[in-house]
Amino acid sequence: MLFNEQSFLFLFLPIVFVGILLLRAGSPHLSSWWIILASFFFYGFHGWEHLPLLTFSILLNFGLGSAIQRKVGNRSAAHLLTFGIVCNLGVLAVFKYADFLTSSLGFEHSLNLSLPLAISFFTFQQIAYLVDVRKGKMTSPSFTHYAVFVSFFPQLIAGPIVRCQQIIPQLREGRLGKLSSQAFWIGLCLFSIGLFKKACMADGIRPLVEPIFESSSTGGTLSMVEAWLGATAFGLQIYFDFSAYSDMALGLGLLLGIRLPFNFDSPYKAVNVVDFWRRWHVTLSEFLRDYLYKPLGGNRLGIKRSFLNATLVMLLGGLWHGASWTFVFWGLLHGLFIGFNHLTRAFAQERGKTDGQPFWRLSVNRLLTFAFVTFAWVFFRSQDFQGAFSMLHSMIGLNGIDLPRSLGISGSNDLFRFNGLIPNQVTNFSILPLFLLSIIIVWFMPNSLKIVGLAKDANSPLRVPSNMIILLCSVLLFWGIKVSFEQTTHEFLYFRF
Amino acid sequence: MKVIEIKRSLSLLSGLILAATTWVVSLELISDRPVPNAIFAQSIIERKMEAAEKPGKVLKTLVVGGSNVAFGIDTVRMSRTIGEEFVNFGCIAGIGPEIILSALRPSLSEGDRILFCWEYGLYSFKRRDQNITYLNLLFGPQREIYENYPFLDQVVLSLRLPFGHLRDSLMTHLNPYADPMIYKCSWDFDAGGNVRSNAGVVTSEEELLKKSLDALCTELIVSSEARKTIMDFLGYCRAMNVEVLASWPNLFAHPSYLKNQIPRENIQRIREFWEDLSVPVIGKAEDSMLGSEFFHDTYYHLNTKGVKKRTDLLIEELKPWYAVPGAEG
Repeated sequence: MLFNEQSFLFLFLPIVFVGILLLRAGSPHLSSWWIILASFFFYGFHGWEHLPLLTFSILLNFGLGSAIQRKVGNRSAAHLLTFGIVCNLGVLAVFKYADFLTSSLGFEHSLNLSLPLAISFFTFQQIAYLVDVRKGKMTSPSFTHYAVFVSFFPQLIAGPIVRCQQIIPQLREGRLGKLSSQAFWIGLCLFSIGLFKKACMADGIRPLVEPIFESSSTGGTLSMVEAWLGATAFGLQIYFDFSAYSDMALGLGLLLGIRLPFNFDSPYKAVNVVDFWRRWHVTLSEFLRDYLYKPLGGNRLGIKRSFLNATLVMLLGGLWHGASWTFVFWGLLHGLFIGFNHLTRAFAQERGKTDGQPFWRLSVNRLLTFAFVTFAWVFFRSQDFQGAFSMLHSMIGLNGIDLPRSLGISGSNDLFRFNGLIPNQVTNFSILPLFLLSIIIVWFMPNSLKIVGLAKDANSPLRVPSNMIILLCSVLLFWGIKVSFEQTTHEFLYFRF
Repeated sequence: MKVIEIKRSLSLLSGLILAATTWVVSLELISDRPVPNAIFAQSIIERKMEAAEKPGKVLKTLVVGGSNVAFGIDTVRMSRTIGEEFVNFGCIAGIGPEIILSALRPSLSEGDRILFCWEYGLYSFKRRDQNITYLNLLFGPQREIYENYPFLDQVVLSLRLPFGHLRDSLMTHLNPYADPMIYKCSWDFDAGGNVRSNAGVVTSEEELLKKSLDALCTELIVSSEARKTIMDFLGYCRAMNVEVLASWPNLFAHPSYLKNQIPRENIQRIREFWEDLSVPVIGKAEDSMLGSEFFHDTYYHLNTKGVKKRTDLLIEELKPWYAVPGAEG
């Protein structure tokens, strides 16, 4: 059951929504149990066999959190925290990385365990909880509040990765199921924008991506333009897909009374890779920064160590996305570029050049960052290195450069061919207008939070969007619902992680 | 409710109405600009209708079905052997019984005969679950059928039609370099409506064994829509004094059909369905199930050898119904 499927839109969501409003009138405690029940049903719908794991994980971490809380300041609290982290990472390792590890080491046996949905998300979320309780940032919540915090269905499957400080206080204040006009309209608008982004933009651009990557992985020789088209289209697809999920999660959260943290802030407008990670999957970046980068020393131990830390953290971030060397390499590339950014910034600071940059320079930086991110996406999307390198060969012109036929005055040679910019039959031309529209949206349009007027600061007051925005969002809602009828709904890309 | 909330609700409603109206108007505007898929499917229907138009008052038998008929029965051979005119009216099963039967009606004359050899999936036809070719036709050359559907079906089908339909329609008809008619079917049809060319990739026995036909292996329930469509058509045939017979589709003889109970029950259900409607059923379903050596590119499409075998079998089964020398009945 996906957010963009009819079963969710017309059955699950209305039942949960009406249910929580009715139950809350009776008792706020009941509304918590109602959401837990709904979330478990939602999770179980994707695979009942993994429900025991989620239940076990919640029970274990809640128990550990309570025990750590009782022993804060005591050495045994540290032992309990270590035990908790080992348990969580152990479960993640068994289900997600065991086969990757054994095959990488050359062993023939594999466990062949199916990957529990959202395991990376709820594992990280609970590790952060244990650390925060240990640091005294959070007092252990009631079991129902904790279970809602972990299993809350709007964000359970693909984030945002929430911290207990962001959710538990809202639950304690009794916000769950407490519907305000502001939250309702912002939630509905965000959900509509997200639904449109997923159904019309991400899934719409998909047919442009798949044949190009398929061709490159099966030995096809793409032209330079085709390869860039495929890689850029994937960058757009994953952005619309994941940010759509995040918008819908935020929207659903608000409809149920809970404000979730934002996860995207126009990442393709970033002017360098560090900036990109401040805007892309923000909650993961913050998790990696606060629970990995800073404990490793962050940038306090000199520029070399900062470079190393950034590389290591991003390498693990790549591994978090999937058990494959292509993901590791993708993370490594980002890590190296983040490290390089730190170096250039330190160099600029030494020379006293810390003033703002002119517009043209920002534009060039934005374009270069986009080009790098697109380049790196090739590893993220490709099934293996062979496919990725074949694609990169075409992107940098090593497979020859295809030019328009009209320029072919003296025929073709080894470097230049005059067969047209897109000579192969793998590019779906009818999607090119959508591709161009997508580029315009990601570079020049305000993001969904800005459109609905939702501030990033979780404590800022909510303001109802204007009637014109509501009208615009309802147009998008119609298109999103319309596409849900087409029987061509595709899973969210981040469901795999 | 406060006035401001009413205004917001009206904004929401206006947006939904505006978007829905835009979609409906867009579909209306492109209804005479069919997409390539619809041009292709419609051209097959038209070729079949052309084949069914016989000069003078010649009585004919139309063999009706999907591609199992198109790529499975040689009506020229049947005409030659039985001595009466036979027409291959095998179209595409995916377009559903309504479109096939609607195209068939104008081709019928008093005294004609119809022989149904329907694919198993056609019996469970449901408008709202149909494929893209069906939708492309409904919002193109077969729009009249769509306009006669109940309102709710119209709404669901218009929502189900992919946005790509609009895009493909515009791209096809705005493209200055290609005439949309290039998408017409270029198969080699003979005068009897038979297809003499099949460009599909030849299927091996291994491929055929990999998958059995879902429509036969899961409990088959004749849908109310299929039943109503057929009953209406039978009423029309009675009024036209057209005799209707039913037979079976040619199909790869997957071992699971004979081993399992469900396919046998489904076959019995189909037989009872026709018999309840007073339509005689000719032959046995099992006889139309042939070995892999007779198939070309799918479990429904026969090769030349298969077409001959299947046609000869059908001729034998039909002899009692026609005044064939030496035949009983």
